[in-house]
Amino acid sequence: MKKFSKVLALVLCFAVVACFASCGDNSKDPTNPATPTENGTAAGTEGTNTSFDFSKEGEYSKKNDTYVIGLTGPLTGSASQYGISVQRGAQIAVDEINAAGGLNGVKFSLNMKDDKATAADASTGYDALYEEGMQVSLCSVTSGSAESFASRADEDGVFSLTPSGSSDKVINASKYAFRVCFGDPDQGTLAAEELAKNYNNIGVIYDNSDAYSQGIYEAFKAEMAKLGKSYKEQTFDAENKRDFSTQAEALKDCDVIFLPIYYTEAGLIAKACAAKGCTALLFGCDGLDGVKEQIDSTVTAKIKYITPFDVNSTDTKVKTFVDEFKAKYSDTPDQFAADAYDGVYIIFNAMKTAGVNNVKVDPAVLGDALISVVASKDFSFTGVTGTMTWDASGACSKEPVIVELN
Amino acid sequence: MSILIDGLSLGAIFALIALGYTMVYGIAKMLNFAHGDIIMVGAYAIFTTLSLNGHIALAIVISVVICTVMGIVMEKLAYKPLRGASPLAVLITAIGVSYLLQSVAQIIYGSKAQSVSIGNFGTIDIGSVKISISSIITLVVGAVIMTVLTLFVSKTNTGRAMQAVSEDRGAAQLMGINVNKIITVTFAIGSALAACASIFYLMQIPSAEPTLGAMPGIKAFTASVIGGIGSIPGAMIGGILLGVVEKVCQSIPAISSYTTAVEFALLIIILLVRPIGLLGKKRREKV
Repeated sequence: MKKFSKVLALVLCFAVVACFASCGDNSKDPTNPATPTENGTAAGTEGTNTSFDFSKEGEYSKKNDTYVIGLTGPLTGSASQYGISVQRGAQIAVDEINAAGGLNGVKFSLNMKDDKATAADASTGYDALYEEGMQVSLCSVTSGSAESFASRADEDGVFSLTPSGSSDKVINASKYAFRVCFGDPDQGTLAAEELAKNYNNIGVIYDNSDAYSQGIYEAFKAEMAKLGKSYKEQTFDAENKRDFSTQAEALKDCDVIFLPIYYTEAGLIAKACAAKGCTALLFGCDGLDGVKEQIDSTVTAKIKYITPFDVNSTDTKVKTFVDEFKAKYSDTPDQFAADAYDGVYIIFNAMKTAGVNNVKVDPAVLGDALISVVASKDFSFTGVTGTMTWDASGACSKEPVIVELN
Repeated sequence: MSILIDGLSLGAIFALIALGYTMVYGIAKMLNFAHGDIIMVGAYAIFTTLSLNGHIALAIVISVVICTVMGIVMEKLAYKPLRGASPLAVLITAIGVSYLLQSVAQIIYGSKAQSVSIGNFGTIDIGSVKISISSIITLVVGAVIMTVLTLFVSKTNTGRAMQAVSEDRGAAQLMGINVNKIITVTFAIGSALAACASIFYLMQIPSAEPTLGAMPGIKAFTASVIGGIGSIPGAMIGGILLGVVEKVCQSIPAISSYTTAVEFALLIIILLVRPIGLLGKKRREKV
């Protein structure tokens, strides 16, 4: 028993230390919203910005002969398809930029560490990257890792642009954190506007055990309340996400069913609807990207989803990217790859606008310069995921494209 | 009405799986926790046959054959060497076999769900309600299978031998019954039933993944305990009851999130009131 209490005491000690450590991280968060006006005015001056001293060299970046973009993401494990997509998309952009002569003749290089989609590995990966000379980052791929990465990057003032970390916690973790993708709540609001405008009889099925699904649903609910529209809701959870006949039965008279969920369950719902003779349009978010593989000829319902990136678009930028991706990896790029591709170009354009002229520039100086450029009203970027602008919070605003699956 | 039919057909699936649990328990006195994963094997057998452009009837036959063989192999390799070992050792082995099957499936097919379509049978209108035909097929075929099984156990020699082994293994052996053979036959029948369950399961939920069998396995185990483990009619009643409860709970918005909790609460209540299950046999311990 005595031994047990010793162990207990030790565990409690660790718990207290861990508490303090995480409090330390959190205490940085409130600094974030306080700074926007300052940054906004700094970027007001057009064109090359001379208010930053780019000649200052960083402790680790003074050995660099290329601009180093760092990031972490899952390259192994169950989420690895996302990390690999991001790596491929980013690499294509870096190669293109270098082939075109880089930034005033200086090339870029990409340094990516595997974080297995865990917050702890993202933090370790950040340390390694920083010591290997990272000057600017694409943060991390998944929300949890990106939050951890961004809060570490905040200490060193490294600009962190996550391609795909959609949770608001990521951009709230640091004033240097920005994102390329939509935020979860944005999609819910958008979907509510779109559906309320075009349909009367609306149903929704969401996963009440998943943060992504709930985040979108909460925003959808709030917007629907604001618009004064009613709808029928059905839920499922991690334990019961295969049999959707009850949900399909309850919503079979709807004109449209909103699905803020991932594609595996959406595929099953589409099939359950077909079996129940429900002909409602199925309307989803960016998580519905891969639903095509999950359905077959038995599914007759129309499926539409909000996505910033349409792989079948005839836009020349998108076509070039998709063709290049297919040629290099013999695979079709998904939204993660597209977001990462745009992310690299956003960093490149912002550095160009800021007038960065020193390959050994200190990450913190670069970070301050980049947030003032990217958050300014004059800065916008048009890439394969649309035309984007940012505010000082780090949130990205862009026009959604609603794609119909055929 | 439509919910009731859905519930009955889900119940029929649970009942088919529960029969496997209850027969193996009744005769071999062990809980075969890998039973749920046999459904997964059946589902992947159908998926593979269909993706090689096999006919659906062929897929069903292959699935039943593979599951039956799998049941026999599982019994011979994993459980037979442990006959007479402590029940706990057998139980742990069963859990191990379950993980083995899941992991092998994941290595072969990956963790992503695969779409399997047995075909959309559409719906029919009865009065004002739409009922999906696959539910009706499940219900009817499930009832036929259970009737045949009941007749098999009560009328044939092998069936009667199974009853005898279940009653008293030692005495049955002395009467000239080959106990090992009977246990193997039981596993074969249980696994074939699981294959049937996998077909009905795919008709309702047309997608296969390595952990597919876990939840129906646990639900069916619950059903067989509710009905009284070891009792064949008990497994049927338990399965149907649980299926209907699940569907009714899901259709009431206020409690739909607590469906699983309600099902297991039902188990607890029944065990409190009647510890042997609804149709379980009371055994007097002789001192």
